[in-house]
Amino acid sequence: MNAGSDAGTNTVGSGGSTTAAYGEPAVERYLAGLRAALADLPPGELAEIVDDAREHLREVAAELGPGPDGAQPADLEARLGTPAAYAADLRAAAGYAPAPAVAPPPRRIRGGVALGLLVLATVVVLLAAVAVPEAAVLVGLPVALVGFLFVVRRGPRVPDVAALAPVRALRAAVPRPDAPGGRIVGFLASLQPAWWVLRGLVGAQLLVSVFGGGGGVAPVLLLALVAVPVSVWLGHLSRRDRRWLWAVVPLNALAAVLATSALTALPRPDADPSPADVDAQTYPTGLVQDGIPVRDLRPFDANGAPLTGVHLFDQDGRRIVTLDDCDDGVPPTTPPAVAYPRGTRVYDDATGRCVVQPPVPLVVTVPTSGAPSSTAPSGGPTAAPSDGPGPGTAATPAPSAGPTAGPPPTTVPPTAPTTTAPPATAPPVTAPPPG
Amino acid sequence: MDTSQLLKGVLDLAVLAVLAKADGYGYEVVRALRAAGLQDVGDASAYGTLRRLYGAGLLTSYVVPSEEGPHRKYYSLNDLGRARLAEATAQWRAFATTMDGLVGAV
Repeated sequence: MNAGSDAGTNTVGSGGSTTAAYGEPAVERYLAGLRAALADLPPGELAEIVDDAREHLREVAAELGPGPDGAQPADLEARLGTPAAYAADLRAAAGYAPAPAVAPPPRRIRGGVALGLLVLATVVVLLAAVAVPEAAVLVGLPVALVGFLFVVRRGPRVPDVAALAPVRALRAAVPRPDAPGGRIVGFLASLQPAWWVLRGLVGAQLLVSVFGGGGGVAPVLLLALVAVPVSVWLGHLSRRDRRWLWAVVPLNALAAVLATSALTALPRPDADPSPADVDAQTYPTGLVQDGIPVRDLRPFDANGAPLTGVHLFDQDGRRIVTLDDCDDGVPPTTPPAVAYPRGTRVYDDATGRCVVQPPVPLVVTVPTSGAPSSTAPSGGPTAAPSDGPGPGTAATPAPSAGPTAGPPPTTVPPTAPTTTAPPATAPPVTAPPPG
Repeated sequence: MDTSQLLKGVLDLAVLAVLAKADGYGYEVVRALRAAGLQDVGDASAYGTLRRLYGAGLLTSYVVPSEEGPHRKYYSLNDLGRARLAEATAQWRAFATTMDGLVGAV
């Protein structure tokens, strides 16, 4: 070995071929220690160093030969020093910065709590944003803020969270730029500023709707002049200092929900823009006449006698259903009667429930068969209008008198019946009509 | 005196001088330095110096595959490296003369 370099090469070259194999585990162990000690260097640089060192260690292992027992690999550390010492010598000679101060071990509990609260805040915001965006911010951000308190003291890269196994697995799952799929990921990442602009617009819209009312597009655009730069600035900031994620991620979730709902609310070109579509959505189902809900139907025969058990259908044979606009929050326990008159469901202030009120007696003017229907009120004047507003008691004779009397029995103007109904809470004071 | 302190200042020159004689791979350079009498040269220091000189553009490198054993990355001096070697050699001579005069005077 003290000969010239040429002689040395030959010696080691022949030795390396026979001894490198069993020395390999020791070499890889040593390299692992070296990698850890140089972990702060750029990945490409580190890979080259490790390649060089592998070559070096194999030469040394070959030179050392097997350990004392013949089977164990050679003791590299006795010859080269610890991997940490090797790394320190290499740094000094190669001109790298000395090893950074050993980072304190990550506090996984803190990191876990912070991450959990961040996820919780985001979920809360996602769930609440669908209903009340303003409340989503009020509920979600305080939760995120508590999580932020757990990471605020440790560095912009939040080492306590970065050390968590799920986070590391997630980061490892993102393909590197040179890996398959890396180009797609890189392309998506390049779109991030567009998202920053979009969420700025959404934020401006939200602020206007909270504070300004729906004043149109102008105030939103005006506010966006501030909101979009702030959003972009926040994006750059959170890239550098990951602690901002505890505010940015929940707000991103909110913005994503709002942006999605805004997109789905846009009028679709293939949709029928006729007002009927809008009406179908805004008006309640059921029977409506001149905008007034029809809650019951009261059939009478030609003589003005009330009919019961009448089934009514429209021109297409569909059953006519009156409108039940009483809503006490609980579905009716019994299905409404299908034959008219079926009574009305009215709200009972005492119990807070909707109760079925039987049809109250009613006296109507039945137009004479010969007269045009439009002259129906003409029969009215024969009866004293003063009789009409009377309560139901005045009307009780009507049903019994109806069948026997002539076409115009004691009649009241058609407008009268609406006033003859007793107050909603009071039961009818008269006997129910025959039925 | 600890020789390793002296070595730090002249390791570049020593490595350049080894490679000026013949191209060599890392461990070959280490052994050449030892064979020349610089027993205190650490392996890692020699490898680190090679990396730095290569990074500074004074060396070129090429890989020689070997049928048996590891592939070897050979380094060779380029023009820039030779110029640096000449410069460092002149510096060393002047420095050594100065030190000789100083030490000889005592």
